[in-house]
Amino acid sequence: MKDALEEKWIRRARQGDREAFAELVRRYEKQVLALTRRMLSSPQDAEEAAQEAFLSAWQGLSAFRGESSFSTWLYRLASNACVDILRREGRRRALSGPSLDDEARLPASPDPSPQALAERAELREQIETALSRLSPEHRQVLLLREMHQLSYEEIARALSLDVGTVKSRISRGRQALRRILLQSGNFSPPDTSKKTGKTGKEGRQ
Amino acid sequence: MNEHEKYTALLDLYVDGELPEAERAGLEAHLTRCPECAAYVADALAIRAAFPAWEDEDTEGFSRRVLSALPKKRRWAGPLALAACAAAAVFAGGVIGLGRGMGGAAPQEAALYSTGGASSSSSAAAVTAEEAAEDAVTEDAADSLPMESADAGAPAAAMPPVSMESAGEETDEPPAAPEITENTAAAAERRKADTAEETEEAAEDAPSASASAPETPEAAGGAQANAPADRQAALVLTAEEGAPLAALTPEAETEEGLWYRLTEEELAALARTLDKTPPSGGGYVLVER
Repeated sequence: MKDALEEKWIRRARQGDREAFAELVRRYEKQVLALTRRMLSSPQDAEEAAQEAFLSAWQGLSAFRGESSFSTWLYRLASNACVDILRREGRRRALSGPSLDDEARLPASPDPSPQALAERAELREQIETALSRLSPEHRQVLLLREMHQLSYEEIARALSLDVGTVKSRISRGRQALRRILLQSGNFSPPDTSKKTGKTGKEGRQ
Repeated sequence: MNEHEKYTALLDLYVDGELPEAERAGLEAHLTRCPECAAYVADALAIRAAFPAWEDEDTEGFSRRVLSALPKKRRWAGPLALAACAAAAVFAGGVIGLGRGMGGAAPQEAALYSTGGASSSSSAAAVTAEEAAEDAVTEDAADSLPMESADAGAPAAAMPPVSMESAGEETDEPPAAPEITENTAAAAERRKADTAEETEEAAEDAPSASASAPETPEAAGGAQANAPADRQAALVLTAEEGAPLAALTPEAETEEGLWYRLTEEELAALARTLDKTPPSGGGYVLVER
């Protein structure tokens, strides 16, 4: 993650160099917006949170000491901004679908090759929809893991969680995501052993 | 804990590359025996392969919006910003907006300062011009606070929020210029870029002042450059009604007037203060000349 150019931008931005900060914004705006747009359903809120993240970065640069990477720090600011807005708007969604805090059990799925994989774009749409049904906590860790490729350690740092919590949230979040995808019938063949009446017939959803 | 339970607990670590090496062989052996776990891993990898990618994100105009929000940081708080700007507009004499695009004392003074600065090296000249423009604006703003600004100082009256901003910015942060650790050519290059950028912003914030500065032709055209022809106004305001927006950075300037892009909440807040019907959704406000 060490990047001489980025370090130079950070140093200059810290000194008040707006153009250097602009370089940082342009480098990370996609990552940040990708996160805030999925954490917040309203595009305006997502824009606001992303702006807030960068404005906080601008103001807090002097406090940024490079203990974590700049991107991880930025995700932290973006995550905080999203949580603030979720809180402010009282929009914490009621969980739909499976209860995520239940003891998670892996559904039996006899076929290891998801047919929907062939339609990756379609699956992507399904994932977007499924993500929006997860709790913010699960969505957050999954986005940082799958979209931003952060390690558990980095996610823990970004969200001020301990690694054990990150691990269990990712596991539960992923299981919940998979369950939603399985239920929607656009992923692996329907799980016939537990959720669909134990018919054992694949064609029946 | 039987074998299946043991490995079930490790599947996510495996998928995420967080599994200790010592466990890896055992888990992979389990996967060959256990369709359930194998399916989970396959599904997790399929999710990863199809997962939305940040690279696809549309960021049109975002960095520009962030940068234009930077100096306004303390007052930029969505709808609240409009109230703050409205207060500033009233404070400044209530004629903000009328002066846009008209000739007046402020631009002439800025040009005067600029000409003086041009006698030094070109890079320094640009800096001088920029600083001089800010100085001129600041002074004019101070001068225009009394009520006579309504006639003589109309163009300058559009400046106070901006110039207050600039002043705050300057004192809050150490100037970038004195840094001498970089090699000189790169530093000069950077400084030039900075100057162009900041001058451009100054032009957007204060079109009447910078537009007449001869050193910055690109700044004069800056606001017009990205004006799409198919812009639709959610709200059309007279210059007077649009006064509260003067402290914001217009997205574009056309023959019709200045275009500001606002969020839904901001539009609604603005409409309320003007006794107009709030349009649905965010969009553009056109402040007519």
